[in-house]
Amino acid sequence: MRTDDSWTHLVLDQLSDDFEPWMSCDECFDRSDGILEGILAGEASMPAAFRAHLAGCAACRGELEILGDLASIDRGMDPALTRARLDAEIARRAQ
Amino acid sequence: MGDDYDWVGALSGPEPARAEAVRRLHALMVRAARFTLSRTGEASRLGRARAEVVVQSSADDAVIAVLARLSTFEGRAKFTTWAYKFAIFHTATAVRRELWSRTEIDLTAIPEPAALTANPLEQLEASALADAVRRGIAESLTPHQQRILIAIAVEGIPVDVIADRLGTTRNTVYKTLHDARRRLRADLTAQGYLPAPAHEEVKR
Repeated sequence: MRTDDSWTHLVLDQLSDDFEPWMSCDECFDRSDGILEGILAGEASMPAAFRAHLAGCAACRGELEILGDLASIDRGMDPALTRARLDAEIARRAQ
Repeated sequence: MGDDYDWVGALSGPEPARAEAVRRLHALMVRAARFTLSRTGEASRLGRARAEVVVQSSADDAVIAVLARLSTFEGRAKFTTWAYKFAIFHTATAVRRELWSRTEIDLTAIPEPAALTANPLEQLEASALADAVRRGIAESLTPHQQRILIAIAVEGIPVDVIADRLGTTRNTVYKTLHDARRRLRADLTAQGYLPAPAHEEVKR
């Protein structure tokens, strides 16, 4: 079996992080609204497991971003600012 | 809808106020479903008629989910934020399901990667890493983990779609992916191809 370069890098992209501590998609969903409220208020940061889950699960991250956009618009806030806050929180894993 | 509307009281109270609250909730879920479509780029491939079916069915599913879990609402967020997440989840999942509905996916076989196409010098350098990845996948992962990892990483199949085809949940597929990542990462780290992870301090 031969492995082409792009195939290898697509797999390696999945290993760019250890995505720990563990959190399930269900727990991420259950906690997302409360954690988002803290982010919107600029008062709270994400728990490490929540941050790790969003870094590793594209579906949950995409849905939280849409929730952040919608909740921001409801509050008269700029959704781009909320996205930037979410991105910054997730990126804190790499620091 | 004002922030002072007592959603929980109205949705759990007597008729006819409850029916009116359910009607309002449905309108809220339709709004969130349409918003989700507008923020999901690939949803434009659905076409107007299929998109409208997704909006209405997702809003219906979201209303049912909100009512079923109403007693779990703890007020950590605004009620609307809490309720939106159900509509967003159902809509995003339905969009992915619809877009992949006409694509045949074989989750029983493990596809072979394509042959190397880089120039000979680059190929030589890349082949050691490529071989290590291939060997790590084959030797450290179960066949099921191999299939899930390749389906997500290489074929770009969404977790919900894989879960649907396997008759399981997003949670279960993500756990399989998580375990596969951990095992393969450990294997490649032991071979010296990846650095040891810098663990964050876990605060509980």
